[in-house]
Amino acid sequence: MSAHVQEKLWAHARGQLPAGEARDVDAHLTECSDCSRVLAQFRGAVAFVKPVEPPPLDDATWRRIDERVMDAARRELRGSRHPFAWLMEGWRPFAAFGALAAAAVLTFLLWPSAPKTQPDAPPVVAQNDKAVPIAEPTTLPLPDRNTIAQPEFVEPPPALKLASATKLKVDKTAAERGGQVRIGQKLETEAGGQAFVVLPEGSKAGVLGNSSLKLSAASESDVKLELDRGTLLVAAAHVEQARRFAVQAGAVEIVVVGTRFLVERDDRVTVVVEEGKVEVAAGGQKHHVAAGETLIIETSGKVVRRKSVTPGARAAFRALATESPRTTAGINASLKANGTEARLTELEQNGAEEPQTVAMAQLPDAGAAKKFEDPTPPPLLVPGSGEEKVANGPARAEQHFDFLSALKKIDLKNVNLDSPFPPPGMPVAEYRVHQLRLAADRGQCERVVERSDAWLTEFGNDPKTKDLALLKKAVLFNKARCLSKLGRSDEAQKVRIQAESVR
Amino acid sequence: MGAFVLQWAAWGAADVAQPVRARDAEPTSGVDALVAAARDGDVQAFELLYRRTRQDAYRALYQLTGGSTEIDDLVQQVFLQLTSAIRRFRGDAKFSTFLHGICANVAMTYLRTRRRRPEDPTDEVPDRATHDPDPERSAHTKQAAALMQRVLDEMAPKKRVVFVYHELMGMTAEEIAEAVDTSANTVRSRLHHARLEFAEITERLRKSGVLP
Repeated sequence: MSAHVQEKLWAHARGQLPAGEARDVDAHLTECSDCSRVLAQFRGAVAFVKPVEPPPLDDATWRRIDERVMDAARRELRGSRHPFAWLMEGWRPFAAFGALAAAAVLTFLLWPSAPKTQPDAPPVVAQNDKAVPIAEPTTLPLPDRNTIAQPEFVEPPPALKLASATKLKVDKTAAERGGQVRIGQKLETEAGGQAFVVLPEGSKAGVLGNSSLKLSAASESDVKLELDRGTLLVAAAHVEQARRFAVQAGAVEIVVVGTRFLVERDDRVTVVVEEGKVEVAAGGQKHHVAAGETLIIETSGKVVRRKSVTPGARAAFRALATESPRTTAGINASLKANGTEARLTELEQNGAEEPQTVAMAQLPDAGAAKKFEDPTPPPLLVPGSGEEKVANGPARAEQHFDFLSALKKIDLKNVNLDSPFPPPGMPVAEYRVHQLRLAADRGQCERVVERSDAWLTEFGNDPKTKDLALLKKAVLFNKARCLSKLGRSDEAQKVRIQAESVR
Repeated sequence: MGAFVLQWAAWGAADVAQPVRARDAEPTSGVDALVAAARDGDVQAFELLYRRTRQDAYRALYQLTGGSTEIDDLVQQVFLQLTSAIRRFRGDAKFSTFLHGICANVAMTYLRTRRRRPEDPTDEVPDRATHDPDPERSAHTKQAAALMQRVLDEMAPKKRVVFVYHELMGMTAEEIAEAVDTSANTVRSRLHHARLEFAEITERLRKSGVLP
């Protein structure tokens, strides 16, 4: 067996050999049974060579290790060391002796002129009109350890974990970094792309397509994201008072007070708050935006208008909060198998041609939907025990969920769901379903249960109701969701089964 | 707030699914100054150095030992050894390589002295010291790790170290040679034999039904 070929067999088995070399190896294999056998063995083995992502050690374990290591370090580094031990190592004694000798010679030679260069000249006494410096037995001050310039220890820049991404302009960089975005790095997405980062304290942030987000600061007291363009969604964890969490969108600064909100920046900045509140500083003024409010600001800082949060934004928030998978089933399977990095690699290999299927439930009445400002009605999200499903759609894990779609396709812009009357063209039954979903989102669970029953009585058995099965499913799933929240899990389970049986 | 800072630090080096080349993992700025100061007895510098490199050591030990149940003790041993060994470090190699050398020694000692592992490969990856937000992914990772571990367990420690450092952590033969204090040619030869051994064990375990 040729030793030269042997070295290449492993790379060949892994598919890492350049095409030319691979051809040479293949040619050799036709006449070398030993190498063929080894290659076959290697091919069977390489599938098992998978780097394993170590699970993070928990804080308590790290604390225990930290304490022991640092105790040992204090004993070892401080205790056993003579204060001048460094002088006795290697060539240093000779260097030190030489330096002392040189200093003595220089002092002797330069002494008379030394006072002239002293910044603080010694006092002088007039003697026969001639100023004579008083010779003082001075000693050079020993340098204080505190005043010696200490080496500056630069902490590595913190990083944000890139939880998932599609159509990233910085795909390769992100992949090389193992799915991390460091301070100063921009997270840029192309049209139709999206990227999600998980902030260290548990907050989540996602950008939609055509967005550019920069992590400007991430220190103990300051987390700052800069949105150059596009849409950013933030589901912030509880913000401690001592810590500042801000999003900069041009001249507009949004300071987080513990909330879920969206910032969209194009020719103006839109801030939508779903939960909590934010403080928006623009044009020298501060505006408080509370839950359920939208604030639109021009680049000049002028507030254009305030309005209530749209259901589409709410749907996007909900998706963000649950970090919904939105890639194809194959990629999802790969994600489960190999983690974020594998998915990034796979996305990179697949290029920008990732299917943009939106396998979410949509009301089929396209004709009626077109009558609205936004042609597509919202999805009928179906809650489950930690695993939301979408009515009339495949299981959540098999879906492709996309924030852009969530915003652009599901948003019922300017539809006031608080109004008792549906917008022109929308059937009352469907409108009531949207209202139920909104109420469920708002946590008005008792109301949802009550109204669900009313809806089922009024429309549930009426064959004239358009898309009856789909709407009925949605009502039942929302009811089940609310029953669960009310702690009536047995009833919720029954309703869920009932919903699944609707055809 | 302290936990917040530590979390930032942890995120800086951890949570990487695929191998990170050892030389890429080493922060370039400040390490030399930290090492020099720690060597001169500066405990604070040592602490910064420790915090900066502990994830790297943890990752190396995890790969070398297959996620030993004693991984926390092993990490601790590495840095306890470092407190005395750091005086020997003169900057001829990268500090990360030096640290990987200590990790290799600690791991080899562990692999030589530990008790025989149980036959059920799923028993081998610990739960107690870790927390994973995605249990499904964690379970899959564990299974994949356990299968590979089953093969690695039958390899001689020296070959295993070379194999893991090269195949799983992306270190070059020269870097491994510096870490384990041998020549690059020895490492290349050992790596080739390690691959042959890995493949033979895999085939044998497949035939006996241990591996799928």
